[in-house]
Amino acid sequence: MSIFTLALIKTTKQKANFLLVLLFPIPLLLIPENGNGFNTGLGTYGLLNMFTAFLLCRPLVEDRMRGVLLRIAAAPIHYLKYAAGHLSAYLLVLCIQIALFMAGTILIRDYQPVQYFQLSILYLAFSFMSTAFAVAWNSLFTSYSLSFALFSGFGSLLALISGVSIPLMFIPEGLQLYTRFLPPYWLPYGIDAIYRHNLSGLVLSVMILCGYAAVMLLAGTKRRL
Amino acid sequence: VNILKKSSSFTQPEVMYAVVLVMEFTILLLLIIPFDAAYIAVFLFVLFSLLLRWRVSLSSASMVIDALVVSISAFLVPEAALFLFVYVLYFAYHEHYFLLLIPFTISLLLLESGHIILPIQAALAGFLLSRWRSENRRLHEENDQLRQKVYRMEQTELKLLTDHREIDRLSRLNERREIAQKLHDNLGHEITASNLLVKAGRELLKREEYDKTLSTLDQANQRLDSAASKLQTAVSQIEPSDETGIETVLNLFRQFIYPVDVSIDGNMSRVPVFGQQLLHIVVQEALTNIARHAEPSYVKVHLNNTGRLLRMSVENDGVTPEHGNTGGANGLRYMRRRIEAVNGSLTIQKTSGRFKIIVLIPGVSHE
Repeated sequence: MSIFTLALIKTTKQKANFLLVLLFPIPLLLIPENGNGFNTGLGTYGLLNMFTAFLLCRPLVEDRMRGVLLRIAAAPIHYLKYAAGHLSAYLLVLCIQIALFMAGTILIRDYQPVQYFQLSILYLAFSFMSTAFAVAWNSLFTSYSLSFALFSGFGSLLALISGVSIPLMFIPEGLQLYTRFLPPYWLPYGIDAIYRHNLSGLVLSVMILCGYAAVMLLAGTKRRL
Repeated sequence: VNILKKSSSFTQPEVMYAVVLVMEFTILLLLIIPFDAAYIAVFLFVLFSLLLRWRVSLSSASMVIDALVVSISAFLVPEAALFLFVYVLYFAYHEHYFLLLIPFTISLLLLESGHIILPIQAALAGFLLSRWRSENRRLHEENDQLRQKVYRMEQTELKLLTDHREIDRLSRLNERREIAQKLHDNLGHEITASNLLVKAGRELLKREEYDKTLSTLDQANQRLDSAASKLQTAVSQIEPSDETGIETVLNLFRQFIYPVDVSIDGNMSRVPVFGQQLLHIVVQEALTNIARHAEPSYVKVHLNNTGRLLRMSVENDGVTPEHGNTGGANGLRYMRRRIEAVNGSLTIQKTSGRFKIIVLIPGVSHE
């Protein structure tokens, strides 16, 4: 059994993950449009995506707490393979969530087909960033409970000021100049770019999200035994 | 265990380097507020290149590619030149002073005069940190060498102690062997001869040959006297002398039954204890031989300590070959063995009317 399969099985054993992937996106689909953009649920999905990624990464922290990493260090398995196997499993789960969410959007909304594709790309980049962020965040803690408790507050605040929880138009222009530095900002920015058919804006947001993901992965996947 | 004990994974200069980087980044971010997308892209690229070098073991010279990418982007977006200080700091810290010139020069060309302080400050900080790191590394190496030296000395001490115990055991065994040999060589022969003579005397007494019996018993008596004398000699040779000073040796000459002409060259007080003891035994044996087997008109002794060699010659003119071939031979043999055990030598010169012993004992002076 590969590490990827093992990580996938461990993920499916958590009942909460099914709720996060199958149930929680549904209410977001029902949030009405604000008249000057897509429906607000598309942005709010970013918050759900962040928390899903965080909860999915739980086995990585628990493995470190239980000393599994120490055994892996002694086994003929490279840590990168272990990390890549887990992260790709979590990304797959997030991809399923995105696919289901997009399928629901297609059913309920009537946007242009290319916009669904662009949204999927943007969500994929955001999922990549969310997973990397969760890994980097968790690498700072040895207790998952503490990590989750702090993330609940910090993540919500981050989502709020970055325009994920509420539409970007409600964030003051002056504040936006500062919140651009935060990774979640680039999801609503990208959604807005898609709505306005601004392809360069979308590419920029996807690139910056991927850049953040790469940086946080490098910082977060440092082996800590 | 001390050698294997690892120091912390980050040394002080490395921590300080990270602190300086964070501080410079903070200053930079304060300078570029509000953030533009281009800034963020360059910032992410710089952060990525630094983290990549931290995570992956790449040549520090490879950073020049990243520096060139940011330099080129600085020509498109001049403010990106602000980030070049990171590469200045990096190259200065890693002592690539030639490569440092690329980001440093471009920074000076593109930056506003108010911001020029950033690369200069980074170059200075990097240089000082690199010096600190070199010094730290040197001290660590010295520390390691000292630990290794201590470890080797501990091992040597342990080995010497083991050797010392082994030598002590061997010397005791050797001493016992010598005692056994001495008793066998000196006393065994005399006592066996006496025993045979007594038995012969008994047989002669049975035959009532009284003259022959008397003669045989006289011989047995002589043999027993000789055995008693040899036993005393052996005991005195085996028993270590309480007085080991060179004065004790000289006392032997003074107390000798014949006058002894002693001449000394060199500093005899520098002869170590084992040398003095050996000298004492040799002199004692030589004088005993003279007293027992010769009737000399003169005895000349010459002692010479050259520093590397102790030479002693004992000469007399009263040699009597008849006696010299019996008891004296054993004493000389014993003396020779003692001397040869310390890589010395014993030479006997026997000419008409003159008997001379020359003893050489090497390495007897203190360092």
